[in-house]
Amino acid sequence: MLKGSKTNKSLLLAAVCLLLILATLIAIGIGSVSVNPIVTLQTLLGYGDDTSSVILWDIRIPRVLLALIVGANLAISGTLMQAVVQNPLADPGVTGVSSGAAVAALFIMLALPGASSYIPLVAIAGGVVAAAMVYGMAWQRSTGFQPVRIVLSGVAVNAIFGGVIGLLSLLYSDRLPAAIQWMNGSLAGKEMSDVLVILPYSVVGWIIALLSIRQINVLRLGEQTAHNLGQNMNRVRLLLSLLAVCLAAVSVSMVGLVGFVGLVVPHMARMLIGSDYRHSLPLSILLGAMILLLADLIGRSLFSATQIPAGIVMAMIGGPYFLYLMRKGGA
Amino acid sequence: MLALQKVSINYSDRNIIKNVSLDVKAGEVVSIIGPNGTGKSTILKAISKRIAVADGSIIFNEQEIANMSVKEISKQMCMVSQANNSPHDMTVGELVGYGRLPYKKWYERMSKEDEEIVLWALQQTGLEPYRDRLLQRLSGGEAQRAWIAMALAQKPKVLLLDEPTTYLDIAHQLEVLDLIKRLNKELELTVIMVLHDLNHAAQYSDKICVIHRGEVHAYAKPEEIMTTALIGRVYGVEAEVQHVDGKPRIHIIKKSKAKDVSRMMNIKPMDIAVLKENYQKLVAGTKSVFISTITPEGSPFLSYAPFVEHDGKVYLYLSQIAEHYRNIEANPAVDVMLAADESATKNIFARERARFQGQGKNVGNEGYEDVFAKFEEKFGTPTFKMLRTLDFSLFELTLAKGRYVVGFGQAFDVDFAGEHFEHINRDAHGLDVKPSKP
Repeated sequence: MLKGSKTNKSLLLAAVCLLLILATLIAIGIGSVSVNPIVTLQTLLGYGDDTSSVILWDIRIPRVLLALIVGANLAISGTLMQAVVQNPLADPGVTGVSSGAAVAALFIMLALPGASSYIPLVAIAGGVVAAAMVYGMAWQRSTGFQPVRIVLSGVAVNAIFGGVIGLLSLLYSDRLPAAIQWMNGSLAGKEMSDVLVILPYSVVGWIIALLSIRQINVLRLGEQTAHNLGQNMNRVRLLLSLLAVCLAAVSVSMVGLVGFVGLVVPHMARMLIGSDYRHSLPLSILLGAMILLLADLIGRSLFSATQIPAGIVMAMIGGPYFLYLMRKGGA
Repeated sequence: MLALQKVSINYSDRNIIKNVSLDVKAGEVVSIIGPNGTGKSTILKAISKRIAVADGSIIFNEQEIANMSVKEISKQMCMVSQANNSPHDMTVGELVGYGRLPYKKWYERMSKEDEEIVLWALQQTGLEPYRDRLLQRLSGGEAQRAWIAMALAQKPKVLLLDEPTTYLDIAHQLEVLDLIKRLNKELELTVIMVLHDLNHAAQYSDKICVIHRGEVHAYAKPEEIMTTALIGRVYGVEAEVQHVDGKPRIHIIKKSKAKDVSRMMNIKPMDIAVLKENYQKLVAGTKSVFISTITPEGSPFLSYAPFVEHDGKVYLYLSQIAEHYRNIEANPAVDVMLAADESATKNIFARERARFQGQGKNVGNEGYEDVFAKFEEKFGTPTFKMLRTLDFSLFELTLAKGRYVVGFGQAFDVDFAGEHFEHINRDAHGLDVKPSKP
């Protein structure tokens, strides 16, 4: 963790911000046709030649923007869920949103491939239904939303949907390859219109999350203290979860299941800048965006014959990191 | 200012608190004591609306808690617990800043005024120099002060403290309690706290509420509460109570011997003896005796009196009552009662009776008002014979009829049919206390 003053923390945030911009420029440049960062910058500012304009604006930039947005969304979502259930192992999936979206999307992909243009919508619906199930089951009249019950019903609902996913995969195993990209979170083949669909929702989500930092922070003081400070814990938990679910749902609907960003990034941020969400949430946003960007970049450039979904890259980086956290006793 | 009216609280299906009524006046320090698991903290949680009451109501300044929002409540009262979540990298100043949260909308930032209140709260708790220190670097006592400072920043009228000293060493315990007392005096804060240490409760409280098995066992001034008898009954330990500067000082000696019953009473043999034939008239066919009396302060005082036979005499265990009297040294009635002559005792009886009737109804005294009248109506004027005078008087009881016993110038209402009777049945509880020779 970064010891020291507020200025140090602001400096760190600014540095990560700069790094992110740099990474973005590089990521836009790298691909089957490589464009150097200066040309990239020129193109972005509208002074590029036609070829690079087409490549960048139609292919690279949407993909990079999507990585940034989704990475940020999942990082916020994970941060919120870890705060809400007061469990460092929580991620957006705890709410059931991922498995619910996966079942819905898989059903369309495998059973009704003709309707595949509805996948984003159906995925959102599936995610929201699953989240509603989780919170419905977790609710108790006497005690409200207890974190443990949210986690447990999340686990149970995920297990149920996991079973359904298994069943669908088995029944339609011949069509499965089509779904594998989605199941592992792929940013391939996205257009600017896709970006424009999720951008407004995401930005609204970010603003609400940043404005709620104090509420999120209060959760650190424990349920009893938060209650004493006038927080209606059930309402806070529900609203923050709702925000987490929305951010995760729009992301999952667009790119499929991206694991580990939501789990790992909040921890990284905390280790780097401390547990105060005034610093760690903005850092999570930046890191989430950067890590998914890099994961996608590695996935699409390392083995140029096959595009490896960002989710797979993320999981393979995130998995070992997660184990490292466990060994270190941080989780 | 704050009143609990017949409050019952359940956890799931289990009843934790039954029919608890409590009246706290503005500016008072009230301590809630009682054994573990009797529902002390539950009461604080109900007051702060952390848990709902199943029955009854809690009134704060003429407003029912149930109708107030959590936010409104958090501007009026605040709670500090025995152990609080201290994030590892939060500073004292940041923590205290959260105390302003009840006054802020979720998007609002801290104003200049908030900063001033935070500073004031830090000054009140002597933590101003620690403002930028990490909570984790504080000692237990300092940390507890920091949490109290956060509570002060809420600008409350009532401070609820749930075992605020439990994890602290002795010096820090006193430091925190002194701070609480000072805040109570200077800021006119009403304080309701759950304490485990009886001496702390006695020293720092205006009133003590004893919760036993989910009910209010007693609610009065410390000097009335802290008696060997009550401590024995509630905690099942033997204790001595001294009075220093008008405040009770409690020395816990050991756990009471008698097994199950030990939780209910402090049994010491040979405090009062009854001639066997009288005893047989008294308790024909019964195994033990339930006695109630009225303390010199006018509050009802319940005692259980098992008995043993020894050398042709039957001995009632009335030590709790005796102890109670012995401890109220300041009470003139006790002196006179120690007088070793019958007429003096008779006079006391008459005087106590007049005194008691003059007092009118006391809360909780219902049913006891006419105990003296009832006594005379049943038995005529009692006769007393002094058996011995040690630290207190023993009387041989002469009873013409019925089930009333007189001792120490007071009337003991022996109620064999009372619901408590079964609880203390000697055989059922295997009382094996051997009487010593009188």
